[in-house]
Amino acid sequence: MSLLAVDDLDLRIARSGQTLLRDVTVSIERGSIVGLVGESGSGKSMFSLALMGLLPDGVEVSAGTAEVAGRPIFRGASRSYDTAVRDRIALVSQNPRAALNPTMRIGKQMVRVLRQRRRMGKIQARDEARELLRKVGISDPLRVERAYPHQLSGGMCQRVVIAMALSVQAPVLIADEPTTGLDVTIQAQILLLLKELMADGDRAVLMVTHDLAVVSSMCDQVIILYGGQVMEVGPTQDIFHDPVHPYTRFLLESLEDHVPSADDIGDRVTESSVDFSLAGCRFAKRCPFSTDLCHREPPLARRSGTRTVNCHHRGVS
Amino acid sequence: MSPLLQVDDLVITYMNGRRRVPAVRGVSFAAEPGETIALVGESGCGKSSTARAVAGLEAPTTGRVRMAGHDVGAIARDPKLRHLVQMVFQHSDQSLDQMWTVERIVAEPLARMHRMRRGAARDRVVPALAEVGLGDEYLTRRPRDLSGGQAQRVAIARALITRPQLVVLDEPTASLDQSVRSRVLALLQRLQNERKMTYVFISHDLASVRRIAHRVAVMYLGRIVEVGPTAEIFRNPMHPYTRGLLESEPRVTPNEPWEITPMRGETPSPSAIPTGCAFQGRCPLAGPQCAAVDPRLVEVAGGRLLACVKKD
Repeated sequence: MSLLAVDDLDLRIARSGQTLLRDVTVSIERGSIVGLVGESGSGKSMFSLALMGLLPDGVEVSAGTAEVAGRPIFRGASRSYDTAVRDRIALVSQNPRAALNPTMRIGKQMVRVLRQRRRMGKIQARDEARELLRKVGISDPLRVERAYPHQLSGGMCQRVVIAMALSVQAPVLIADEPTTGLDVTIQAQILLLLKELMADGDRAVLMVTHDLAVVSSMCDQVIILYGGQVMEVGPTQDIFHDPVHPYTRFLLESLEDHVPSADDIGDRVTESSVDFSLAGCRFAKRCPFSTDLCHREPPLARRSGTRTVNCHHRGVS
Repeated sequence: MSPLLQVDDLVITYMNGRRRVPAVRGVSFAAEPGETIALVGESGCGKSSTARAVAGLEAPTTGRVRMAGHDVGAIARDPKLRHLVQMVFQHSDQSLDQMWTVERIVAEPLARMHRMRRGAARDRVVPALAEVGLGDEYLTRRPRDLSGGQAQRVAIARALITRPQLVVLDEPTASLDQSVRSRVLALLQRLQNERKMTYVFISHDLASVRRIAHRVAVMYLGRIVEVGPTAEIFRNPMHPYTRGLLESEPRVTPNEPWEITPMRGETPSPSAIPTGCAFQGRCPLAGPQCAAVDPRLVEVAGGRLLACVKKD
């Protein structure tokens, strides 16, 4: 059974009725890392905010269901966020310093969370905090627990945030651009840490990122998002090896180590910003294969084996 | 061919209170007309300070930066010469004046440097925009109406309208989406081929560097640790830091899972650089002589320079 199961989720701006995210379906098994990939304006961060109950005012869940470890995330007719699922989902975000309290020493912040969320006593919480800091690769936890966030490097702060995410023992971890802004050697350390933490198979990670190389090296499954619409879903190796959706093909052709071929479509993809009022496929304006149908109606998900393609014309055969 | 750009023993030191913090600790390199040299490295390596000094925006503490024999500081101050050096920044959406139209933004260097009137300038602005793939309809737009890629194209058009010989590109694609980045890099390459400009390309993104640079200089804590032709650096990195950097970079390898091999430790603070080799604390090869000897950048093969006492 999936740890995180999202079915046909829609997000819209309440006032205008404009759909920001359309029919997003995500399923993550225990022990697996799924990548949600998209460029700016794809709605990938809005999706993770929805799962955390942190949607900005005026944006609402207008359709669909979501469950984490068997418990519904949105309740009632208004699909309001059920705060009881908070300890089942932890977030590791792009700016680790902003996630930490700047006026409180690291140790105190961690002890606080452990005492509140796991009902630990003072001494027990302190020992557990040290243990967690060691677990995320911090060799001198005594120094780190006495430090304030501004005294630590970005990579160190991100380790602390990951330790705090682990401290609530949430089965689902959302890593929203966890290494964007970090240096490449530190990024490698953090990615390896996330991978190692997955090794016991108890958790599931949703990795939200714009970086295809990170996805290719970390994720078992990929969901490609464009303009708030899922374009293609499948096992990472298959998608990178044999992309089907025109947008996925275009995206992979733009990679620096792409070897040009006669089948490339990149030059025929026009430039245009995402139009959220579009009734049809969100990529139709740019797509070299689009027809009237594409502009008129949103594409349905065509499934075949482990892969799904949302395109009127190019379903997996 | 004599180099267009010549950087000799550049040192830049900032004051932090009363403490001197070295950002650039003796950097030398040269670049030919039509060549792209990339300065790569992580935060604190001094690449952006070097870039600013090359563009004449920052005075060296010691050392010299010369272009075609002239000091760049003097070029930047000379109204007749300063059009020869231009710079493109990372956040073009923020570095462009939000209140101005695209036409005014792109024409400004002409007005400022050549005292050109608006009508005459327009005859240059329209083809300059066309060269970066933007039509006449963009003349009246303002930065807020532009996407990140379009804003970067406008910044490039603005930098190139004065026909510079040297362009400093400071992370020009870092804030762009993957598919947009690829097109901006292709555009920069095409313009360079047409005009034989010299690019100094600052980046932490190795994939972009591999695509656009002819030569790469790898920097660590204010020094160049390795220089060489791009293909050779990527095929056979010699400095342990270069190796660690390349191995840390995630790659798209559809047929084999990438084994993550991180380099240990973090870059020390520029105010606490160890004596001897600055990299010794993270280096897998470090030995006693690394703490004793501060390695100099010396030629080890044709066109390849290395600063490491452990070289074979």
